[in-house]
Amino acid sequence: MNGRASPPRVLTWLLRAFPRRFRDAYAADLAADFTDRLAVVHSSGRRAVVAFWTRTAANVIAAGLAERRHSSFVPELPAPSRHHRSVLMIGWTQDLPYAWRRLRREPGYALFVVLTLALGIGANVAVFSVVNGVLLKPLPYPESNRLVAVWGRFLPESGFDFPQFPLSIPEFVDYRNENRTFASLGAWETNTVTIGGRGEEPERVSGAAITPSLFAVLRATPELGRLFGEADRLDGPAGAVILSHAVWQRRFGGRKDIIGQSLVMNGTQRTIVGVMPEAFAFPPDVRIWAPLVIDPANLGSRQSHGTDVIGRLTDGVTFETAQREMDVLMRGWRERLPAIHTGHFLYLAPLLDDTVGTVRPILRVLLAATAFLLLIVCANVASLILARAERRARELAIRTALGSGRWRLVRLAAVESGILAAAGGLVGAAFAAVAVSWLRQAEGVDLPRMSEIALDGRVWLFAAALSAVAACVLSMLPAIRTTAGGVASLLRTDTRTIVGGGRLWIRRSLVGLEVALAVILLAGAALMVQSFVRMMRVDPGFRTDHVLLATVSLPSPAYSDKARADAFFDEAIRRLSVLPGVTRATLSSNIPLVGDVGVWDFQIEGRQKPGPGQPAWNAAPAFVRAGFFEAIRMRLVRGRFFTAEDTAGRQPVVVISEAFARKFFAGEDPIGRRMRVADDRDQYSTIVGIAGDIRDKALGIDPRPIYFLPHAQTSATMDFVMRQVTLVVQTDGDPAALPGSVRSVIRELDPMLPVYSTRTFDEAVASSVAQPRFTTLLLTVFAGFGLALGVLGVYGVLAFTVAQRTPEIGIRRALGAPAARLVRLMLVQGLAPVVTGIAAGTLIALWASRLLPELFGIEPTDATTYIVVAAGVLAAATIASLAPTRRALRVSPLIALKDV
Amino acid sequence: MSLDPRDLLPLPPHDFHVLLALADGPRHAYGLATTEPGEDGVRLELGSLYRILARLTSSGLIAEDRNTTTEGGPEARRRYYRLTSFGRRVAEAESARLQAVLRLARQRRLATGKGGS
Repeated sequence: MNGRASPPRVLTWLLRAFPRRFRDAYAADLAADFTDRLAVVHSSGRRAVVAFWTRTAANVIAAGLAERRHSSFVPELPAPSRHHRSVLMIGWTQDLPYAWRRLRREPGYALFVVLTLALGIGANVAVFSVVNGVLLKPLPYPESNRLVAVWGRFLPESGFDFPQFPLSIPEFVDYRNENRTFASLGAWETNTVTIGGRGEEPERVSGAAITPSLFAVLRATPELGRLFGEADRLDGPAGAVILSHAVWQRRFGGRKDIIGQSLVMNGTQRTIVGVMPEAFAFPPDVRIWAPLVIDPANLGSRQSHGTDVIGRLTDGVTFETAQREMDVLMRGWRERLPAIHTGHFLYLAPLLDDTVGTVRPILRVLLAATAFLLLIVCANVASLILARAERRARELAIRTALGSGRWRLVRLAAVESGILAAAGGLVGAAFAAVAVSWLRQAEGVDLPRMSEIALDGRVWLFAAALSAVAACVLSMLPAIRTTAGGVASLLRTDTRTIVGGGRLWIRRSLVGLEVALAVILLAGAALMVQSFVRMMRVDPGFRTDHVLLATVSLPSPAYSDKARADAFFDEAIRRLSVLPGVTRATLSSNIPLVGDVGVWDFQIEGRQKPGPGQPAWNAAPAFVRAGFFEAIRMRLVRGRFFTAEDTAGRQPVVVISEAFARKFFAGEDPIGRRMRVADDRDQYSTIVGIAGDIRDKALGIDPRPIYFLPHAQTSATMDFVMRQVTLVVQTDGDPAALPGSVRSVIRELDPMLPVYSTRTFDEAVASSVAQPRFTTLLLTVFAGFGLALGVLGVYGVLAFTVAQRTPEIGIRRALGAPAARLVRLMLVQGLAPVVTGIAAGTLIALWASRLLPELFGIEPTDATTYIVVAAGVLAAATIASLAPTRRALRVSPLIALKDV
Repeated sequence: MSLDPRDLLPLPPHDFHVLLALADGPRHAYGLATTEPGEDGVRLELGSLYRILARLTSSGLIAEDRNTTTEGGPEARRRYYRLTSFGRRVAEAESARLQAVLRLARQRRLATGKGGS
């Protein structure tokens, strides 16, 4: 047949219906056959030609499209190995490109798997990097496991109830002298200081007065200059200070010649003797250090507890030995000073636990949540891989028939899973890197050791390990699938007919697992959300809207006279009151939910001091000006609030809270009774009013007894409440518009005075709940992803079932099965694993809910929550089942039964 | 690993049609397609034919026969297919199966003629 005509162009074009692979192999032959045949048909006349063309064109297109759906090829494996012993070792180099090619042929599938894995691994790596930085890494000091914090504890029999409280100077000195287990002990007191002199921008920074031994305990070395020595016994004018790296860079441009220069701190000249390295941050956030001067002749009150202490254990001494020695010493103290040390003693805590104590449970919950998420992700992806294996069942069976060892096929699946997991791990690590860099500068996320959160070697190792585990899990299931059941049974079964339910059980179990884990995550998140919402909805007893806060601290030399301070506040408040839009200006020593000044002793006139077992006479004080109650809209229960008349020279008055009245004046009328603050020995104040309770410590903590004193009547001895106050400015407009004018009012009065922590009351309260908000948000996001993946799993399995059972459904339809019955059949099929998963998940969640951080206003076993979560998951799964079910209903008996 | 031919049964009619056609010896595809239903009642269009060829080749039932080619230049060269021994065994197994089916049909008086054995 020489001189054969080239095939018609139309045919070449029609052949494009076939996938490229097929075309490459057979298109030329097919076209040649066509041309030959066309020549034969020509002789039969025009009609025959048209008929031939129509039939062939239709068939070529149909076959081409069918080929795209189900390839006739068993793609060629790289030469199957006949040496079973060496099969473990060789062939990887061939499998890798082969698996890669196969994945590239299904980019949608590969992308979905990689992104889902990246989500799971990324969330885990991000949370782990936090756990690593905060909980696992040693503190950044040499031999930091030898560092121990020293704390005081007040048991109720002492009259107080503080599980953790700082020491007093005499207690520190005694312990330092008496112990034999510490190589060194250091103490410090933190405070906020103003740095900057005339002509400089004043700045408020956190400072610490420290014993020279503190740096020795930490084994810190300066970046520049020297540390404090025993000679630095001066905290005040001409005293030495050490700067943090940050302050040195910011205020001195990192100049090397600043050692020996002077710096104005709190209005007096100090000498800069050293600069600490950038990484050094102890106590956390402190920017400037001054010597803590302890005068052996005058140690101060043993009951004035404001000194934090850490120590370094002597080599060879264990923590337990030191604690035992402490117990012995404490018995001695109690015998010597029973009035002070009954129910009050010191104890030790490893410094790391001490630093991170409060966030441990939260991080634990987040870590568990991300682990669950990853499990869901793995189950989902495994399910997908199984579905794909199902589609390739014939290919695999034929391969086995042609001599590919099962091990070979398992290995091929493993290589494929490995590629997917590695890609997922890489993308996930990138997600985590973004998340961590965001977290480190996110507003309001307040974690200890934040600066140590980083993607270090251990985090990368963790990411790699997760990817490896994921790869193992993912290759295991298809491997079971490949090796289970005879090859023959696979070959015999046409993939388009009924696939044995036996093979679907793995995927069903995976769906059940996914649903169970999603239920656990959702229940946890739902509890946290409700707890948070209830906490935000609780009436704190005051309002935070339309109020601006700004803190000022009068430096002592310039305002050492109380009258001068009062005059300054009088004038500041007068000027603030007349600002446009301002309806009220006042001040307070402390602001509810923002800060307090501790719990102070008081005495009630005409009463015996409480004995052991009775409530001690102490409560939280607040020193406020007239208008404060009104500015934050507290409730007046009886009597009156303060007026502008309650000034220094007038009769001293006090307003107590309802909780105060309940606790200390049960069954009595407190109005008209007199009490005095412990520090204020000679002055009794008359109770003139009872204010409604407020939640001042935290929204989640019940109102506690509070007493309010007029700020102008503060005695000069209460130095810091007198000097450091927060201005409270109420406006009828947006308080966020005020900071500029408030600052300029203060600047007009005293250009040297920094105004700081300027923010609306709303913002301040929001930041006080930032941590629970953040935790709740994260958990909700994880739970949302978990639910989405779970629902996707339900959909996937049911859609697969429908596709597999199309012929069966067609027969049922043809035999007249009513639609309702089919719907029921499909839903039961799809939802059986869901219901099982919900039941199991609910039970586990009920047990695990006790591990959640403390909830507010809701029980961890709140029945409604669990019912709503279960119903919600069931509803979501039902909706996911609807689409495949509808597809099943649309199956036409003809199509279903036709064999293409 | 060897495979029992019976594991592949029953064969789709089109596949069996191709195996039958190759039973006498290597042929090229041209002779396998039928526009009108043949004796076995199977009609095989070109597109479907090549899918079946690909499938049977992949599964090892038939193979390209390199010893038999048409004359002419390389562009005129056409692929010949032959039954592999495995393919022959599968075809025999299918025939036996069909025979059994036929016997059954006769017993049930669905078909005429005498049984095979």
